[in-house]
Amino acid sequence: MKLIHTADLHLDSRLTSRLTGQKRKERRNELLMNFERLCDFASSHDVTAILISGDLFDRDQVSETAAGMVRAVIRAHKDIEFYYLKGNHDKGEALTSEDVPVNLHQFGTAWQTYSLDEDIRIHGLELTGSDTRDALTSLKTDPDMINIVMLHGQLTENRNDTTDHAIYLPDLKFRDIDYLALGHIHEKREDRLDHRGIYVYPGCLEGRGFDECGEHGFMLLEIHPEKHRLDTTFVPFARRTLFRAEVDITGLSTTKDILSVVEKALDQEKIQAKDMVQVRLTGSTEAEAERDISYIASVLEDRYYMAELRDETVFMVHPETYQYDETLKGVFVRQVLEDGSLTEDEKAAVIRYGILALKQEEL
Amino acid sequence: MKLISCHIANFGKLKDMTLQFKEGENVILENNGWGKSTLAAFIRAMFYGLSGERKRTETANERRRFRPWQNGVFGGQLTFETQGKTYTVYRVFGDREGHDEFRLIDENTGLVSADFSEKLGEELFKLDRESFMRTVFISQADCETAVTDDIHARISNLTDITGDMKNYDSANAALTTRINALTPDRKTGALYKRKEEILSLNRRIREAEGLEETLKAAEETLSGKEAEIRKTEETYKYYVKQQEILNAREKAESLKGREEELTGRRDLKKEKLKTTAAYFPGKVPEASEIRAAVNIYTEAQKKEERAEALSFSAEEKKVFLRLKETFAEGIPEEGFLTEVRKAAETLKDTKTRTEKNRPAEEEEARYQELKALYEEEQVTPEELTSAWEARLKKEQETETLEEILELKEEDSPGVKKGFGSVIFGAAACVTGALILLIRMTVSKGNQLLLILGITFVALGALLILLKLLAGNENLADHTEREALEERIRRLETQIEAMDRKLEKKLGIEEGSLNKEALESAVLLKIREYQEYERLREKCEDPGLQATYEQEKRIEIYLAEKLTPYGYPGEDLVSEAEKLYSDAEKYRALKLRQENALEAHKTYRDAVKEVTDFIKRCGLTVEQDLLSQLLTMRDELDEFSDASEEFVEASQDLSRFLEANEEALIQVKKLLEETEVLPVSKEVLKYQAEDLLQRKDELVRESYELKERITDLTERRDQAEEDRDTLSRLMEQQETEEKAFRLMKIAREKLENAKTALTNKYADPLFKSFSLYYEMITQEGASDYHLDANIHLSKEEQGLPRSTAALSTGYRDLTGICLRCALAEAMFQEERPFLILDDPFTNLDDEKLKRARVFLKQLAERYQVIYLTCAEVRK
Repeated sequence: MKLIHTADLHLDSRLTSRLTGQKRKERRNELLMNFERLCDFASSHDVTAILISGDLFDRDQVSETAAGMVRAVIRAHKDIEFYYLKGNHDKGEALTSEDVPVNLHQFGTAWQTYSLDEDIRIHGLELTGSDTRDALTSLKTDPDMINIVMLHGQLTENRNDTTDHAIYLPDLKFRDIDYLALGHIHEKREDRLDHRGIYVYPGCLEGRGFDECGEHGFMLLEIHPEKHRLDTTFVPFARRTLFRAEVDITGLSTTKDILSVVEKALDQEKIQAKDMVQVRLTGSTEAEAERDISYIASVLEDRYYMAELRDETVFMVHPETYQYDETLKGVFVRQVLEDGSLTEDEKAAVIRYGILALKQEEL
Repeated sequence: MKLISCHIANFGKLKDMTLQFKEGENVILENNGWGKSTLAAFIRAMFYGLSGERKRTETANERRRFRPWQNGVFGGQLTFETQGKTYTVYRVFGDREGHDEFRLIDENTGLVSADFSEKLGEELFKLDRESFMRTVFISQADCETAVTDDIHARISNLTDITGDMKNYDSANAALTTRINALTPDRKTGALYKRKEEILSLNRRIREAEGLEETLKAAEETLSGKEAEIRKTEETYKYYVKQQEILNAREKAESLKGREEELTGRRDLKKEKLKTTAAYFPGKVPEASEIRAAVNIYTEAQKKEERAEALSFSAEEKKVFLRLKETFAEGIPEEGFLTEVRKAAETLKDTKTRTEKNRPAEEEEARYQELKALYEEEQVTPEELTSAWEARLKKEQETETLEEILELKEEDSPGVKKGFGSVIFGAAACVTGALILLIRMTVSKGNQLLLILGITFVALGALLILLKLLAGNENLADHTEREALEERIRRLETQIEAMDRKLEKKLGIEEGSLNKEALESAVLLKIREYQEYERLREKCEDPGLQATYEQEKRIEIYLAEKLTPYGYPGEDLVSEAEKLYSDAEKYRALKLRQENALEAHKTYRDAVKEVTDFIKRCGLTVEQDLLSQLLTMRDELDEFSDASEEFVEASQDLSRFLEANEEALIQVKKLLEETEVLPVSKEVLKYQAEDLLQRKDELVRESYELKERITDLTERRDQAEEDRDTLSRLMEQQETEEKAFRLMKIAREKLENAKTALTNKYADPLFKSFSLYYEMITQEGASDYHLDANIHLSKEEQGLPRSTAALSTGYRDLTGICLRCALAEAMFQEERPFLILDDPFTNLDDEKLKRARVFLKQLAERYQVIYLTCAEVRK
């Protein structure tokens, strides 16, 4: 039997990447349609059930468009059972109205257990407030079953942690849990729970901004009840992957060299044209360096679905270089450097403007 | 400051070269290609190190350009004097700047000096490398080639001397343009426009602040509308259902009426069925059972009739009883009878055969007679025949000899010729032929007669042949005749003896028979003996004996077999046949008796079966069974008709119930579970139509709301995008405001720099220029003017003209003067040496002459290293 464990889809969320116009709409639709794409994948791979460990929606007040879409998709995939646990973002009533699909099973603030078949039990609990330990330790499981436990919260190592949705993992150890299906953390994380089970954060299904870079997807569970065995596979599923690169261009003095270093850094990540990248240029360059950041940005924009180039470099000015320069430039630099009203960064910028102007280069 | 000497270890094409410099003019006259530029570069490298470290091209990168063509130390040393002290600078260049070696020796002490660092040039001249080059190194002109515009420009253009002064205006313009493009003070400025855009976005974002709530409200309204639609649909469905209930009730009543009708009919048929079934108090028979009983009974009657027919007549009964007694132990098996019958036949055949071969009494008697005669006698027919043949042979020989003798006698005088032998021969032939004829007709198989006949024929033939052969031949002489006669006599004696012997054998008195009688006696004796042998064979036949024995055995066998059945009679063959016949007859009678008994039993069984059957039906058995069965059949027909009618009625009811099962359940359910509105179907219909109309209105309103929600969603999305755009614009605005401010500062600083530079160099420069110009031209430089950009122009007819318009010679002269003036102006603390690289190539003889004077005068103020490739310009 196959199951999918996903979480943190954050449907109907705002974009945190700076897309504009048509691409912005396209990206919103992509994120919204991820749920249907996931269900289609499940259908085509004979998946019996989809476990959603919270934050299916991004906010409590979900738009009717998103809620309606989810209901319609769940109804359309009537051969799949959906187990949905609310997270900290979607406490609203989007899927708790009277129009609930029959194959959608939800959980409450007390432990609730569903039998997926004779040998598989799915337990779930919506954590509320800060005192979660009593609720967690009240879990009852049958050791002869395959026990899957769904929770949405943040793991903590502090037994006295009173933050909302804190999960103190030792409270769940040795409770015959085979698979702890967690949600809340947007990066995939997997580790042993105890001698019997594992816990898994599948991460969000797709990165929305450059704070959710890297590979995203869901966990595919294959359960063999006769062997009492549960195999897991992480399935990358994001339409587009977001990458963030910091490139130090210190010492580079030409646009060509800078672009070459940036390309090399991105090539190492094996980024595809459909992906989204954010490049931060750091370090320092000579004030006289020939560098056209806008050109590099345009090259990257042409190459990727979305590219954002942030120039966080500073200009270097070596006073000794101009100490005996009796040209206009030398005198100009010395005058700027001697101006105590300017910060060092401002001095460097003023010098660069002056030098670019003298060189007849674009300002 | 002056150069004293230098040693070039390896630098470009120059190697291991030492040059001494004196004060004033130092002329180095060498052919083009000698390395004048390399020498100049070496002197510069000794003060400033190598330049263009990061340049890729060989021209720009001096380390690459002057790396020795041959291996060896890359560098050299230069001794110079400044401020009254003499130093020697050593530089060895490595593969990169970090590997370069620098050493400065104070020649007065011979120790390493720390007065200057490796930045010797900058510290000594207070000028960087580029400024140094623009001043102390006054152009290079190639002696071999024409002077290019670039060389003119480099010599004459003052802006080249002052580096980037020429770019000031354009730089200022560029900055101004960019500042104007950015300015927040004019509508065309990017900062102004972006500020407006930011304001607009802020306004839109503020307007959109309530959008989320509006959207939520619209969605809630929509949700309400949809709930109302659902409710309306439900009410509509309820009304429809009510109509269905009413329809169903009508249908139910109709269905129920039909159900009752069918049920009543079925009950009626059921009653009739009961009545007809009453005839059979017991089990109601099947029609087939009655038919079978009738058949059984009629068949049994036929059997009974056959039994009667098979019963014995009195005579048959008598025979049967007799045979039953005969075969009390059982009827012999068919195999036994067959065997007995076969034995009887064999006996019959055997008897017939023995009767036929048995010897007659006369034959037996004759045999006994001959047996008595020949049993002891040893003479056999073969002996007699042999003896008789031998005797006949002797006789034939005698006759032959007698015929020969007769022939001799006839041929001889004393013997008459005649035909006696021929006649005799012919007679012998006839005799032989007769004997053979007898043998062939009367005594078939008599060998003796055969031999005898043949002998006669042969003798006769021989006599005739001899007579014929003898012909006219004469017999032998008398001796011969006598011998013949003697021989005849001996033969006759022998014949005589043989006859006696035969007679003795035959038991006949000696000499009592003549030849013919003897011959007859011999033949008779032979025949008699042959008869004896024939009778002996017949009377003494061992096969006949065996047949007798077989006959006896069969008779014993048959007697044994027949006796147990009372057939010990004389004629075993006939009795065996009788046994067979009786057995067959008894078997037939017995079978007939058995068949009769069987038929009778069948009849009784049938009667019992029929009566049992009638009893099972609960009826009293009547006398006339067949009549009773036929009555039962009629009653059963009645019952069957009633039964069929009942079944048909029941099936009609079942079919009806089955066909209307769901409908009846629904009807029942509707009747039990639903309430019926106290309204008519028509009213319900009108109310349902009203609800449909209301639903359509709600759907329309819902559709409008959805459109509004779509619009609001787009606006909300737009507001979201606006926020991102605003954030981006704010960042850009902040960046460009900073750029705007800093560009303005840059423009201001650049202007200040230009002013400072001009103030520093313009007046001293022009004074020096005037001095050197007068030195070369012997003319005043009052017509020349040097502007703030250190741009030289000459006033002609009240208008300033660029030096570019001057003749080539004047352009070079003014350029040289300006370069010298620049050196004068810039090296105010330490007067440097000057390197002139053939700068006078374009001067005419007059000016060249003055230039030489100028050079001499210049050498009084500077140490001049003058490089030229032409003796004329030396």
